[in-house]
Amino acid sequence: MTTDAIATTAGADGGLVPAVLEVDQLTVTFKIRTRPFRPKQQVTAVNQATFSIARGETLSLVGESGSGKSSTGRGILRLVPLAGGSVRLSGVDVSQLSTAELRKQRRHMQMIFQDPYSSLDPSAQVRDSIGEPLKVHEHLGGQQLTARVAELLDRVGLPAHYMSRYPYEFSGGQRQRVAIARAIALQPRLVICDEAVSALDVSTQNQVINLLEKLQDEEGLSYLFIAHDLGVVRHISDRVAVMYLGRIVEVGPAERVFESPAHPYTVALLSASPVPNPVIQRTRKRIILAGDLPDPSDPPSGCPFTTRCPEVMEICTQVMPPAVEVAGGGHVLCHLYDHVPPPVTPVAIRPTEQPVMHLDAVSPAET
Amino acid sequence: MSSAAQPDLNATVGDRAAPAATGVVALQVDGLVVEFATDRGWARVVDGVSYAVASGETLAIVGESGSGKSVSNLATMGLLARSARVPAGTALLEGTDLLELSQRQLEDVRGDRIAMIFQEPMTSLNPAFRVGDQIAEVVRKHRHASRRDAWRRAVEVLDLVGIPRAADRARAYPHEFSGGMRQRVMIAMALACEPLVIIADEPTTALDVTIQAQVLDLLRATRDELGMALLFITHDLGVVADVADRVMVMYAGQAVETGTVDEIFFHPMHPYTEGLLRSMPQVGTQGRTLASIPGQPPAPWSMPGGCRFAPRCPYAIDACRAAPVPLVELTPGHQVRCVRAHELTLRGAA
Repeated sequence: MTTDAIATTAGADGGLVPAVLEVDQLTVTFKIRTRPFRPKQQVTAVNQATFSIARGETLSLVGESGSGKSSTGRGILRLVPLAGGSVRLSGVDVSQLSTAELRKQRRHMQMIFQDPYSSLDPSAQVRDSIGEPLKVHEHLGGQQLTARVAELLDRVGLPAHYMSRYPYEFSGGQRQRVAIARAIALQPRLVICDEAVSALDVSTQNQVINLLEKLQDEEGLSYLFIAHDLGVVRHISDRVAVMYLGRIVEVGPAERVFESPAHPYTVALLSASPVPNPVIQRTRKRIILAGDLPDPSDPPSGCPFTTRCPEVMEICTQVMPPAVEVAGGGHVLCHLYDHVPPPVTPVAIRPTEQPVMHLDAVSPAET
Repeated sequence: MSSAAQPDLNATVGDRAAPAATGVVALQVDGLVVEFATDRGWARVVDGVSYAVASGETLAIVGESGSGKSVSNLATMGLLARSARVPAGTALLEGTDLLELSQRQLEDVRGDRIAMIFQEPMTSLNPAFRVGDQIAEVVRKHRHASRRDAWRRAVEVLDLVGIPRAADRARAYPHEFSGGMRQRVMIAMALACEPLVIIADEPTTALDVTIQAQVLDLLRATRDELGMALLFITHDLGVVADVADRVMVMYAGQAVETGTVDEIFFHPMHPYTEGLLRSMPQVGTQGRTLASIPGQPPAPWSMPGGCRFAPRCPYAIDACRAAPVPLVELTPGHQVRCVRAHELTLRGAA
């Protein structure tokens, strides 16, 4: 985990851009009762997650349910208590702030949830839902507030007169636009999108994604995008982090992760995700992982993926693999790459509609 | 790998002739109409839908929420809410019209000749009973088997769907299974009486992709092994590409296009199908605006008089809005509901 540049991130032009968000060794634990009448057990939902997001950048977190994606997002906003690690937002360590100080910082980081129907107050007009953060943080009211809400509605593609409507009067896509308007009301630096488009039909989903990208261009927003649809993730992300059982097992530029995934779990995840093309879907090689995610309250020793990994070796069950740099960018936590010097030549970009990945891209024999 | 990168589409289309012609038709639905009671009167949510699925074949029904894809299948199973009615249509299964049967007669058919798998298995299983008992109950009801034989069958099907240590796990309760395993239990229950038809309504939508891949593989394998007809309802075109032999695309309560999976993906003839395909985030669209279909589907009480897709269609002309558009078979096995189908050249999957 120490190899990732924490204070800065490589920008698109190769230069260094100051990070908006720096997450270092973030750990989130829960105490849950897994069986009735037994003592509660500690579950590590997020285990030493380390990453950073630059201004105007989108980092996606992918992984199965229970992998700790949402807990990472909630940990960053301190919606759940942190068990360890630090979160710095534009240099301010929010993990150490008092509740009152945190409240002031919260305006810089906002969250959009999967289901706006449950995140918007059903008895409040849209004007009040969008206006609430402006009242609290900027003490706006009356004409001024109405004007700002109208402007925000316009920016998310809704007519201003919708402000007197209630959430039930909107379609799912429109409701998500309202949630976005509320999230951007205070011009945050970071917006965490937790499965923000997952519940929408595909054409509506695309409209919302286009809106998120437009707002990012206009405001230089940084997104932490939590999603399970890999097609969407590939489209929207600059970089991708893959989580498994609370650990970030691989992180890197989206192109590199999708074209030459390094971790066996990433390889399996990509190969399991169906492609909307019947010919490719019939001919591509698929890795069907056996079994389920292990019980998070009783994780396997060593690497968390050992119980399902097709490449498992003896060392994997004993030692947690260290972070190793991957050619083409990012790093991977896997013993397959221990002591293997990264190839000198850049990773070849494979035919793009061929999501079947092989590990040979980083093996010295191939290069 | 090289052949996959440059697929010979014509060859593949030819290799997979319309399977409906080869298998025996297991379920045939004709002219199905479903209406719901609303404040504004009867809202017609399924309007004259017809389809057939043959033994050993998978027909995928695709559409966005509200297109009527789930409701039409609930109607054939007699599982609609009381506020709904079916004023027209037939659903023939082994010569019997399911829509003519009483609820009691339907109970004899459901779970025996036709079975259904839903999206959320936790709500379909009774949390208070062991899964083995729940499966055995189906066998006892339909096969009049002894307790012991029914239990044995339950263990057998749990084993068939890949539940490890099936004899032990049959004694477990639903909450002791993970989501993917619970869906396997549902599939085991559906298979218990070796039905002719399985209707799977978004069976993998709530599952993670690695588990989805397992369940899709299982459904495909059991369909081949038992020669069942599989009716697969989904909104996910990736899943369709994976499981389907034929596809029916629904929009606003009507079928707008039906054809083999390769025809639908590579030679779509309805602008809505093209819109759906183009809306799938493709490789290489990073940094570009994603295609989307403008607007919203019409509400059941304000359907356009002509083509229902016309208000959102980039190719719409006056003729489209003039009168309802019939579903026409343009090439063998490929039906489309579009006035301009013969003159438009639409883009398929890349």
